[in-house]
Amino acid sequence: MKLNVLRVNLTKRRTKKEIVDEKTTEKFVGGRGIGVKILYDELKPKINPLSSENKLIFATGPATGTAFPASGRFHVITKSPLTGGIGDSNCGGDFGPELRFAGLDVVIVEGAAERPVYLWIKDGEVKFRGAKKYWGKGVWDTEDGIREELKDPKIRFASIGPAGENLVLTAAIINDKHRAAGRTGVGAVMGSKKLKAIAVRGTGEVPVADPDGLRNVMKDSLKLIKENGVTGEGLPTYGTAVLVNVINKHGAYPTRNFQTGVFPTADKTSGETMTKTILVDKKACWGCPIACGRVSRVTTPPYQTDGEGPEYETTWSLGAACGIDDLNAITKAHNVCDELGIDPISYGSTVACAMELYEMGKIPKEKLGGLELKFGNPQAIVELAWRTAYRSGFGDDIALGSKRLAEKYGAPEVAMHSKGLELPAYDPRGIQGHGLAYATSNRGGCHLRAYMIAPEIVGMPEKLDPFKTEGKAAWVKTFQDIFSMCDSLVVCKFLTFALNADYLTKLTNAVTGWNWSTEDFLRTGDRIYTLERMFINREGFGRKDDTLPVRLLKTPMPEGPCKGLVVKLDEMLDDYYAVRGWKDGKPTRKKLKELDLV
Amino acid sequence: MPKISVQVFASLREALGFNVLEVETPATTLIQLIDFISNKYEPKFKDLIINSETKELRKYHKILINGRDIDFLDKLSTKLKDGDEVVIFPPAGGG
Repeated sequence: MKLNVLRVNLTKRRTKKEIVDEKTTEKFVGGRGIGVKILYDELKPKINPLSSENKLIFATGPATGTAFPASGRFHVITKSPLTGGIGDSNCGGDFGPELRFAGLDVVIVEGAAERPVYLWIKDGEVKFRGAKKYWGKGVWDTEDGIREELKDPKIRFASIGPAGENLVLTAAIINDKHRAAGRTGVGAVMGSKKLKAIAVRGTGEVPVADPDGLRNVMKDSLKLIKENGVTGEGLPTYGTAVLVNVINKHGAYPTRNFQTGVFPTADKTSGETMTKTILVDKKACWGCPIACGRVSRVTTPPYQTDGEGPEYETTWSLGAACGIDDLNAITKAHNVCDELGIDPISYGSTVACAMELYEMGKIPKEKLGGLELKFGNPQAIVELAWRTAYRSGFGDDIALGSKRLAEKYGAPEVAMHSKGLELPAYDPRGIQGHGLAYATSNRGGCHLRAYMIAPEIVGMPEKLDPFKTEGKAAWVKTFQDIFSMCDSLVVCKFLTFALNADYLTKLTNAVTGWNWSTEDFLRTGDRIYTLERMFINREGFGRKDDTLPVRLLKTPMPEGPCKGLVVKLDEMLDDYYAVRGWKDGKPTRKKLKELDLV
Repeated sequence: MPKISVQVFASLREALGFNVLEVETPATTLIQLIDFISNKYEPKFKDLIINSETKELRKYHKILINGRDIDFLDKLSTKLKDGDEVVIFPPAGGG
């Protein structure tokens, strides 16, 4: 198995086709793995992420666009302008498979265009096209406009909205109008290159090494997915927001900028309520048997909107994080984020930070242009999305992300981030292993490097006590390694509710022709995670950054089932380094040799 | 008699026809409460959450008492007291 690479130099307006050889592909797979390998080899340390020296990589993996379940995804990898470390994000939709149908596995974008452009890739042929008429427009108008311009309704896109163009540090890249490569500011990197969109159309087939073998494993796999209570019932029926009440009733639903873990009106924004009110239909990403996506419509003024979602994270970040329980306003703000290309997790969390700063008296009222920036005000979350994307008034401050915002207003402790990336929708004071996962995530505050919610809350694959710290380090490592593989194959992590590492290994062997054991599968994930760690070490991150906001370490949860708890990170961190074979946040030479990284 | 709040979520709401049930009950343990609700209010209740063969909570279903998973209390034998909140989820995961 080799990877077909398109290298695009926007400065010189040149493209070049390359191949990643078999040995390297088997070591780093594709997606996030090959992305971090390319960045580590080709980027000098300490470059400005918004300079033309940065590279923006769109990567699929061996599973993308095949019958491997839930393989309609791609991964974006770059150096993050928000954190200064690894910037990457995973995205569902049709763009990934279409790229492979077009004969490409990876696109590396280098340099920067003089004037706005978009790339038009059709079955491997690449053209640079002027994007001046789309610059300033939202993603939805851009996709529609380019489809009309090129007279092809089946084109798929990865594009940015005004947020990316205006270098909003939390800007996203959007696929199919409503799917986001959201986190770490990848959209700002695309905007810094004046690349408005990549439009792709492919009519080819994706090669599979062992089609019969894949068919055989698929039968069992699809049965397991359908029979699993999460992937077969909860997610398709209620969407990801089925988790709102689960986390809230555990007392770990971060409310008003992580001031508490209980949101009394959480049910008003839950998957159950969504199903009864705004849901139009469910939707699946390309080739996905789970169909957790939502198509929704709000008809009640002033928040009328049509779109997809909101998801669990967005329902939280635009909801309870800001003390808001108006599902219509949350849905509207979510769709504005999609249209303008903003990461709603970081955006909502930054607004929550701003609300707390305002209530502390740190932000003068005259800065707000008439906006009442109090917790619970639904109008604020909708209005500020527009101002942020266009960097207008106080939106220019929200565009910085919570870390820089809180530093600017003299209260850095109010920003709920790790390594500069805003924490998502789980308060780890009640879920100890998840706190370790946040702190040791290479990209910063992230629930998707190691989803400890699965064992500690959902009880899959086995139930762990969320209040305890013993044994959590090994679990965090295992999840990080498996999810590194999901992001490198590129497949949806929801598969792991139903399919264990053995099944994922069999499926991988079938699409690639490799003859891996499950240990090989996990070791490759370990290698990818470790190379990522080497990247951020080189950028200056170490043990001091494997931490959490002081509120979560020192301020006991004030109420609810987790009352009195803090994250006991010091009980888990050294164990984690030991199971990883690292010392003080850095891989040892022995570990690097073991993983064939030196 | 003790008053207990019983809240159900996701597909259990559709199956049982209620979100919240506030009950006065002589039950002193969780399994007694489940039997009480099945006998007095909704015959389907017990069968939906308890495996009739193993007599245990159905796989990946979750019961919290005052926010704490019963697996870390005394499971179905956990004692109840006046004012307790019992919350029941079918399998539910998200992102």
